[in-house]
Amino acid sequence: MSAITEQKCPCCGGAVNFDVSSQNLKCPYCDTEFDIAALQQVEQNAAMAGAADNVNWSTQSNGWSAGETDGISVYICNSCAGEIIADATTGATTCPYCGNQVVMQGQFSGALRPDLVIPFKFDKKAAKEALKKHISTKKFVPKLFKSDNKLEEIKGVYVPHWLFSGDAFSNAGFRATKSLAWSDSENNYIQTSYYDIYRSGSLRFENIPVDGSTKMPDDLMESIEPFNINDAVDFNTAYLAGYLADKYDVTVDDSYSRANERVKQSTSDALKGTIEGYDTIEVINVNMNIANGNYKYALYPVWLLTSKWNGKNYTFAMNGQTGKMTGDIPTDKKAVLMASAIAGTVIGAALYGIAWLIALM
Amino acid sequence: MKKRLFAILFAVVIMVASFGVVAHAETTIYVLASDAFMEEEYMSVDELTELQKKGLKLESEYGYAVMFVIIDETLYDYYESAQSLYSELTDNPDGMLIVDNDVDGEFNGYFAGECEELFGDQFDALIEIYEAADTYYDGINDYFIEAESLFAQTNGAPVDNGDDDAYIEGDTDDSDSEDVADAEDADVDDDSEDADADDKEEIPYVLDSAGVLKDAEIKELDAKYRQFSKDNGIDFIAVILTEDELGDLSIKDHADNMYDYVFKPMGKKDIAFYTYLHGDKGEREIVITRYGKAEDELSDADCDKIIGNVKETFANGKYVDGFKEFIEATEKVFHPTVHWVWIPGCLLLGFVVAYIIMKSIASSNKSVRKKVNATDYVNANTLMITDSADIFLYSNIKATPKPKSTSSSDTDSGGRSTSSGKF
Repeated sequence: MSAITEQKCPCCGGAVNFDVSSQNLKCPYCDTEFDIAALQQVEQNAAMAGAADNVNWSTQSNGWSAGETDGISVYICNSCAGEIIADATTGATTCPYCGNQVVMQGQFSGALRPDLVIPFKFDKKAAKEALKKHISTKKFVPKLFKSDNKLEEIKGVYVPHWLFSGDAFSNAGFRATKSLAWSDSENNYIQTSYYDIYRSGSLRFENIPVDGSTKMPDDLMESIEPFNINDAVDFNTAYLAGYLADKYDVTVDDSYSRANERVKQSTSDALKGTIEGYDTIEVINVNMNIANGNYKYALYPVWLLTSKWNGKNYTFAMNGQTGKMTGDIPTDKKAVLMASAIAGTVIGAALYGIAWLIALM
Repeated sequence: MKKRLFAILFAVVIMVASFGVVAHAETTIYVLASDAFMEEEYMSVDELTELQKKGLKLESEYGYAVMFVIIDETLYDYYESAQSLYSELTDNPDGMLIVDNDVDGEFNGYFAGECEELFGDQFDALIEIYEAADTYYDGINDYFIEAESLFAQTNGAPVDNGDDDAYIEGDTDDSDSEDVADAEDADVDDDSEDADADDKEEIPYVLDSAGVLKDAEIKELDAKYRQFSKDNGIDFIAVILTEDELGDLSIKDHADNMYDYVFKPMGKKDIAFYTYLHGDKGEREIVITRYGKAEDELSDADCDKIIGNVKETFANGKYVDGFKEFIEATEKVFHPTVHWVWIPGCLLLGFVVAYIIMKSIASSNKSVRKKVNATDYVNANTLMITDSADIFLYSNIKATPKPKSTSSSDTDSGGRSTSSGKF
């Protein structure tokens, strides 16, 4: 026989005793019976909950790994002293605390100073209108996409560009054909004559722009060309106020090849345009040399908006100088199929009618 | 001319062979004139047709074949005598033939069987009556009238054709003859009605001179063409010819002869001949010749379409199927339909076309593209050509044979139309 000493009754606090008849612990004061194991558990729980607090914080900090802070710059807002975190290429931005426009002078100084800037000719309101019109005039645009566009988030950005100028000297070889047809009572005849054509010449190019920012898709920037260099002015940071701006992160050496591609195609087209009197002309080979080449660094104005829809990003860009708008818009495939079904029924009925007319003829 | 006559006679023979039981005994050419005579328009085709009918009526009523031929030098060379000409023109053993011989300006004649006994001495009188008329039509018409008068005078009352026993001799008892004549009148009337009815019904719709069809096939096609003709109010006749039979004649000429000398005299004016030339020696041809209402109902384009539909079947030697397809193709011309398959086909094609259009409209939603060249940045008027050369290398000539046309259509001034396809 075992007994629990100094066991307290959980109901009335009295000392409980072992009750022989029930083989349980029983409180003589309130006659409540308890299982021995259960009462011991109750006492253990009470002891744990009633223990004193033990508070001891310990921190785990990994710290910045190597290279993580390379693309980040921290600036202090002159107006509110707030810390502005920006990436390495940001040249101008807005303070998130006080809304003040800030220009990171260091991004556009010394060797990084742009030669030219084309100031914005279209304001935000015009950009929003243009974007609205761009989307509304398109067909089969999902309704949600049309209504969901956050036009207020459209931003004016000065995009860095390299401008290439020079004389292109080109030699091109072509294969051309001339055809002559005639017939007699028995046969139809076609005589095809083949020619080897050679042209050599030169062409002058001025300010071919190549996008100098990896953040800006090249095809998007080329889609809003041309920019008119006549409106360009000498760079001054004052023009950047109120807009975002990036410095280049694609070097001029990395930009040459794109300019060369376009120049070569243009010279080939120009030389081909001097060939006359043939029915077909095929380009065989072209080579090109650039002379008197030079480049400039310029900032071009672009209004930008990026929308996300169905997990995909859609970026719209408007030429801030000419107002030319571009940007791929999603297509509602169900709407296309529905329209095809309706129009197809009409066309099919018309075709059936034509078949009847032919049968009646 | 000889060939023309052969064509007519051959058609007649075929018709007789195809007739089966025919109400009137023989099929006879009552008036025959040369091509040159008809081209000179001494008599019109309608007048010739009218005279054929009169001749047919006379033979139907009296059992005697009364014939008149205007002969030219070609026919003169062939037929040595009026007797041989008579035997070519009719099988009737009793009849008379007068020949106006343009070559020597004389008349020949032949009286056969009972006509020789009864009217053999009337030759000069008949010639006189013919010559007294102002026109050839009037002359031959008067000749027929006189012949009828002679028949009636000899109490040769209208008899049941083909039944010699029914012929009444001039010296029989009048009372008996009256009764018999009345009975015979009634019989003849009935026979005439039957003849008329049979004339209208019992023409052959299939004429196979090449012998490529079996009897059962002829019967089948005949029934089909007969019914189709009845349904459409135009007689469609299937004809198979050989090159030997045609000789120098064209298929059109052969068809014209059949129409002018055989079918039209029988009151068949609205006819379309579907003729297949069975060319053992080489080229085969299908020709559709239309007359009367058939010319209005079937245009040249319709016929070209019909020929196009059947050409391949005939080329494969399936003549029965070919002639059946003639009917089907003609039915499609008269009652054009569009197969039900066209409905889903048109809808599907319409959907495809519409989808292509909608996709091209939707493609304008994509506007971002790389620039191919730098044309916007070329300084104007700075292109300088420093060297150029255009060197000739070689040339070649390609000859493509011209496709040969195998179908043709023609309408002559007589209002008869023909379409043909060779293969």
